[in-house]
Amino acid sequence: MRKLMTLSVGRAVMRSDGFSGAVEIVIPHVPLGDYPSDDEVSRRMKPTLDALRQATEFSKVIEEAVVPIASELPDHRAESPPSLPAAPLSTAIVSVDEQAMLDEIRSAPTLGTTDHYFRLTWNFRRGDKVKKRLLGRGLIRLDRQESKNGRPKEIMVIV
Amino acid sequence: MSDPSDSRLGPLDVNLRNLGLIQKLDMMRDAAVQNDWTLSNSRLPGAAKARARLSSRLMRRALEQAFEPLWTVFPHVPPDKAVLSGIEPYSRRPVVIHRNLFTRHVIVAGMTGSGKSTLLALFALQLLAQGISIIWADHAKTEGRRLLELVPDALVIRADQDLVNILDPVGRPETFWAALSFELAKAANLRVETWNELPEILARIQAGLAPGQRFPSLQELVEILFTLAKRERRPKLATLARAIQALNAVLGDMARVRHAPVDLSKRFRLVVLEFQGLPPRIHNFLAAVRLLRMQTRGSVEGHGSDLQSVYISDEGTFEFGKEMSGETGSGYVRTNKKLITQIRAQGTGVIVAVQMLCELDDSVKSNAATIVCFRLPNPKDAAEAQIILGMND
Repeated sequence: MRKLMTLSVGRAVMRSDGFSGAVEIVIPHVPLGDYPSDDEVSRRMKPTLDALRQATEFSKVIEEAVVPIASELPDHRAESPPSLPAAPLSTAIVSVDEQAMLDEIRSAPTLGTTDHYFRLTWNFRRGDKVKKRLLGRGLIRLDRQESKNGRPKEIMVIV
Repeated sequence: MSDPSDSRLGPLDVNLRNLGLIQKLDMMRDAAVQNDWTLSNSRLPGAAKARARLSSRLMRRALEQAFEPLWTVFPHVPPDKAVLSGIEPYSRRPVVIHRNLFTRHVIVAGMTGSGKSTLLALFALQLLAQGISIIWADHAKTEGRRLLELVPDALVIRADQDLVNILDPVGRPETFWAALSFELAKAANLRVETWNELPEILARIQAGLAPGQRFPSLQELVEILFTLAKRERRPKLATLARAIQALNAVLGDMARVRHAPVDLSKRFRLVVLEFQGLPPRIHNFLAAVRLLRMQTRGSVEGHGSDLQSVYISDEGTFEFGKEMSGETGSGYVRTNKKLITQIRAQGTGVIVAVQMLCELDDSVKSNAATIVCFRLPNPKDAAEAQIILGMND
């Protein structure tokens, strides 16, 4: 083990099939010369590589659209965030639930809020959440009508 | 050993003298063993008995060490198939191996600057002179290009400049694409359910090719995958496409190759592939794809047991290291493991040069008929080498 750890350069211990044991060897000198630089290798290989490329079939170059990003971005910490113009209501994006609620109100405008939830098979929590979102967006308003049992009836009206 | 036609062993009288010495040594060893037995059965006091036994063993050890160089006997190798490995320093005998032993693979281990690359060059030059083609994969350094002075018609290229369409199947397409997809999955960290989609898509592409039409390039495959992902609502194909797109960004023009009319390893006697500077995952992927193509082509063309070509993996831990050969639990065995165990029948030998023997995969150690160890300063490596070489402590 010590021998393997302290072998000098160019010396090795080898074993191969058919050998009766390990044998120490000295590697003969091979005149390999210096390391050619990348440029030198490129220069020497250029004619060969050019000939190979000419014989090769390539697919056409697909230009990838590169979207440049400015390296000097404005410092947003110092400035207040830019105020975006409010989107017009007609183009406001509504979720699936909101759209379902609006369709339901259109189909039965005289029903009360809880009746709509019932018809949509929603629980109160889900229905109230959608109602508040629609109110916040200004897509509906709430009207109150008197009822027979004394508690006012809440009706959603599309604005 | 007594074959007078074997010029490596020197004149006949030297051989006979060596034989006589060995016989004499054997007799002395027998005497030492006999002495041991006698001592153990004698009626001497304990201390004297132990001292006598120790001196007997020391004498035997000294004799073994003194005569050890003469013990190594080499098999006869025909001169036209002999490859010189080195010179034995004690007897000045050349140590040669039969070139067909290279099909059972060679390990060269040693610290940097110890002489590994010189030995690889020595092997390469002799094998080239015997008509064996060489692929030299330079994984960490640029040693292979030094051969340009001695082999002017060699080709030295970066691994990502190799003109080959890696999708173009060699051998049975389904098998080839499955292995290729697996290597891609390793390189791009894809899940099994994602990369499993690729062989099916490639088979569909091939089924749709008109007669004489070439297989699409990697770049075109990306477009196809994105289109299919949208049309057939298969988001995993988009994941695949993005993985191949990332690969293409590194490969450059190689990603656009549809068809290369020549196989570089057949056109050039010596091809030096330089991998240094590539991102590790791409590096491993390209190396694995090359091995895969080599292995599959060999099985398609068929060979005898004679050596046809040699693959030299300099700093081969990148290809044959324990970490790289690991399984993924998907049931596939990595290409390099398969190569080591199966490529022998195809007349291709592999020489793996490493700095740390411990880092080398066990499949390589189990399949190497020849091992050459230069200086191994790491005690762990030295201990392992000692066992493999069968050296006395």
